[in-house]
Amino acid sequence: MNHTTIGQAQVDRPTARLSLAYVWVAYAAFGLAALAGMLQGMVRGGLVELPSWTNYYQILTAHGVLMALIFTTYFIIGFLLSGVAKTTGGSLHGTARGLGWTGWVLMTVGTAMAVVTIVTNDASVLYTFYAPLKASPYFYIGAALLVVGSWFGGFAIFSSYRKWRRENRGKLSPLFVYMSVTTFVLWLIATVPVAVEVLFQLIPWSLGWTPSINVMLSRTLFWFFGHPLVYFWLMPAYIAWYVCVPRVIGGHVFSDSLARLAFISLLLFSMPVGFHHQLMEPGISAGWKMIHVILTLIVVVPSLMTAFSMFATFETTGRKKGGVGLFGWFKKLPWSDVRFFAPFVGMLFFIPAGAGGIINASNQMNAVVHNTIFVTGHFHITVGAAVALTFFGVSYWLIPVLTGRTLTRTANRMGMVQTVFWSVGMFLMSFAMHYLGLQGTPRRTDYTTYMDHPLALGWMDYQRVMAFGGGLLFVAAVLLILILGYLTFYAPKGKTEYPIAETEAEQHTPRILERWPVWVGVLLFLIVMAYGIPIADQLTHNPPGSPPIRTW
Amino acid sequence: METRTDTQRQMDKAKKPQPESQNLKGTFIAVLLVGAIILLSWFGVFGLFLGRA
Repeated sequence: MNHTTIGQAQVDRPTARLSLAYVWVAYAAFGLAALAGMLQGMVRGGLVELPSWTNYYQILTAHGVLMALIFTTYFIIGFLLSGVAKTTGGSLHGTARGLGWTGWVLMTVGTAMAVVTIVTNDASVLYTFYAPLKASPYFYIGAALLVVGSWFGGFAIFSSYRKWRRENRGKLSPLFVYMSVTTFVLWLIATVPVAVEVLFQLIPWSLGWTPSINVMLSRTLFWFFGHPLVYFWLMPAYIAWYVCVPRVIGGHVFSDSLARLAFISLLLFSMPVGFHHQLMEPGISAGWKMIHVILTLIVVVPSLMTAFSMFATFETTGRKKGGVGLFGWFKKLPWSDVRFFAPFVGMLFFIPAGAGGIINASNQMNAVVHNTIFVTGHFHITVGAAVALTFFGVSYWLIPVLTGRTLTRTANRMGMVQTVFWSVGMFLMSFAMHYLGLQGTPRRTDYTTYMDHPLALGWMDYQRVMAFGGGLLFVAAVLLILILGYLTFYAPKGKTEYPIAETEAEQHTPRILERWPVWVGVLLFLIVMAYGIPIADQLTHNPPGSPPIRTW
Repeated sequence: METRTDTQRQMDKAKKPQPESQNLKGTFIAVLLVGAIILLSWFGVFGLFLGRA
């Protein structure tokens, strides 16, 4: 009864064009960001000096904004729109496509505004754009357009979902669609506070309409958004892990209910937790921080459910292929298929990434790692490895699906090489970052020897390891763009499968998992509980406020 | 120790079919390893915290 059969339809041309438009802006941003990242590594390692017309913080901002905000958001919308089309009959209807294109235009205008202000050195405020650092108002307006545009991507998914439910009354939605809707429910709610910060605090203040800004409030609103942002990156990667990778390896979804429950848990517990990014800040009492830390640690549960589910899928599939003994199934997985290999390496990176996340979120230990390069290492193995490698693995089949081409054996082999370069580069760079961070090396600082202090001089070897890792990552990025260009324009025409797995047998999934008013209600309750009083405090005990500061 | 007849064993087997595909021992060990990595990392950094406090 709950089993939804997915047709054989691929993705129709108009939807493919829309999805491809998103994916290629994502990779254009990715290429520029990779260049900026490589330069940063070289500067920090003391290997090069930047020319006088640019500076470390400018390229750091470019890297962060283009990689963390532009690449991810565009790729996620392009990927999810294609998957929703695939699992609801092969196309998006006119309204959904219209919403999708409206979003693309708004986001692209916003991105252009942000990029221009970064290039003209009017927005070197890093990707968190913390006040009281002040960027050009056009940077904030661009950021607002990016966010609003991304909402339209979400509306396109909701619109397809509504249409599907009208036409399939009483049926459980396809897992891919359900997960996409959950991801965008999270995104729509999570982006409201940052929209409030940008529209009511940053833009008027940067235009000079208001003389000062409540820094505490702006940071609270930012992290109200900033943590679920991490889950907005992760959940589409999880979609690929739960739904696409099992099909690639010739297996099935291990448990439909478990997958849906994990997503609902991620929705509920990724939001009321932002204070774990503000543990070292004054102005928030220890009690409220403790509540956020407890809610943060609950997110461990759906993450471990995901780990269990992935291993279970691999083991059941490997055993069916003849794997015996405790780990014999492991050898039966398709190790030479980049569509599996890249996301699998991403999953491996997620194990230390998750462990590091628990360390960051533990109040006392946050004191050890706060504002050190440990944190940079942590989010590079989270978004830069677990998420990025999954997105690369998806791109290797998604682009051929969208262009009606095939992933050739050579392209697959090159993809394997690319994955190895990226993984080794990321391992070296992030290992050095974690190690240095535990010694107290600060993040977000230009090259310096702190007046040749022996302690800082001792960091230099590891900073060169970071630079070497960054170099490997850049090579991998160039290789990736070349392969994706080949898959878009030159690969032989043919039919490529859009991998969507189903459960092996009919499973009973509790219907309550799809009752959105219940879950959105619980989420709003958690948000009010976790943020209501602290934000009211920050508004009523308003500090004097800060005038804008331009440090560069 | 309990002695069971072949029939009893067969009946038990019939009640709880255990196909090879549902053997999840490897998964169990793998998630325990993930848990061990998390605990080791956490206590490692907690040790650093205590050492510096």
